[in-house]
Amino acid sequence: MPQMLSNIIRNLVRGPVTRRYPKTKRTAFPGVRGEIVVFEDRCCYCGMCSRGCPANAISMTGSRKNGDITLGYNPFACIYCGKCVEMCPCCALVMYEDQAPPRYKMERKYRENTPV
Amino acid sequence: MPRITFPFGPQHPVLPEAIQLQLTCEDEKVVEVTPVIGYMHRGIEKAAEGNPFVNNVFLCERVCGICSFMHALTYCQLIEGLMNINVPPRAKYLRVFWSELSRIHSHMLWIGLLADALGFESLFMQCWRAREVILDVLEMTTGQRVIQSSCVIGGVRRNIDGELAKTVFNLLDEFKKQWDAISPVVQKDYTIRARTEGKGILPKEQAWELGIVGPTLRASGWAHDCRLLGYAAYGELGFQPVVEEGCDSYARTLVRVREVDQSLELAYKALNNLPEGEIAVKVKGFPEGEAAVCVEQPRGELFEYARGNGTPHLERLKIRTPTFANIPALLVMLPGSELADVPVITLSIDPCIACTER
Repeated sequence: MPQMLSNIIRNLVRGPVTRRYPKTKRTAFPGVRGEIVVFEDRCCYCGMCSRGCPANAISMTGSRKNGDITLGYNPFACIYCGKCVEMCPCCALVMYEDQAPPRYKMERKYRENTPV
Repeated sequence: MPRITFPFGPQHPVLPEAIQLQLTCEDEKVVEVTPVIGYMHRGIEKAAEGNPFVNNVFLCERVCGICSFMHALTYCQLIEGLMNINVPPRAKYLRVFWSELSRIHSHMLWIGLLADALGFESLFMQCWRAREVILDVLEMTTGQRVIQSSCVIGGVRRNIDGELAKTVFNLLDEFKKQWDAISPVVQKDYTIRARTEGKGILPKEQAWELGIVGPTLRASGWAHDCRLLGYAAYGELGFQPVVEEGCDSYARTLVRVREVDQSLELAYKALNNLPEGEIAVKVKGFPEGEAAVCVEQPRGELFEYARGNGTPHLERLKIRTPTFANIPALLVMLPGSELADVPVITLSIDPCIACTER
């Protein structure tokens, strides 16, 4: 225990190491894999993301021929590996550095009409 | 004296994961122990057969949270061996860097848990606080704190250069400063020594016969470490395993404490000698044939076997984790010990049950 004394005294004088969450939020490091947002207006429906997704979190429904093709993204199944973002040729999937907030129900998150 | 048999676990304050030890005691003395596993089976090996082989990297990472990078590395080395892929030297050094950081954060977690099991709460908090620095380095270099996903077949996904390397060095220096204050406490503290010295003895010969691996084996006097095989860049970086002769829980603690210093040195070395060039090569074709690979995880030797048939799916993937090999050690360590020492002795093999059951 005597070896810890200097540490303990230092800790008494110093302020807390932990943050007062949610008042103070941690800033993410650049390049961290956080929330994935789908910009469907940019999507060319090539299907690369859905084929490459290791968690089957992205699905393509409908057909291109009939013009009713849609892109579905399930954030609950997603493992946030970022593979889809790397593969997407038209930047329709974007990974942000901030973590996704807690969610309680399934929903598709889209940001439409955003310029590329 | 009548014998009483009762369960220790699967839910117990000292056990981070679910394993049951059926203890038979005579008064306060343990005379017999039967480990029971099977609470956390996830069927990862079967799931790996259904996935395309490229995607299994992300699945294998999830075998264990603490050594996720090593699981990904083992799987990647396995497939690279099957497909004769030459990984660029820079990727090999980066793999060593991240492997050693994973080892540090695993050992820091274990030292914290040991302190917690002994009731030494302040040491537990100091250890985990220092560990946060390593997790920050992992987060800023790979993109995530625990499940890094930075190792892929053919190389790595992220590079460390310029400004980032400088920040990493600063953080590693900060960790070293914090660790230098904690390390003597773990090695010399009276409470820790009293609770670990001479407890849970695993004799040298028996350790080898039982097939024990990792720090548990090295604490019984065997210089056995898979890093000596020279995979990734270990052959070029030079490395000697940490060995202790004590055979008890204290020796196992010392091995891990000294390994933190060694891993830090290896991480510095890998980052200082980072060769220039590519970080990944493209993978073409499908795996065919059989291969087996050993990698030194924080807990010991991780063994993986795969059989490919020239299709995108593997025919078989077998993962044997170090805790599976280390559980038989409890059958030697626990009989004869006091009931109050059971948590610390069990913890001394650093059990990772999620790994074991896959």
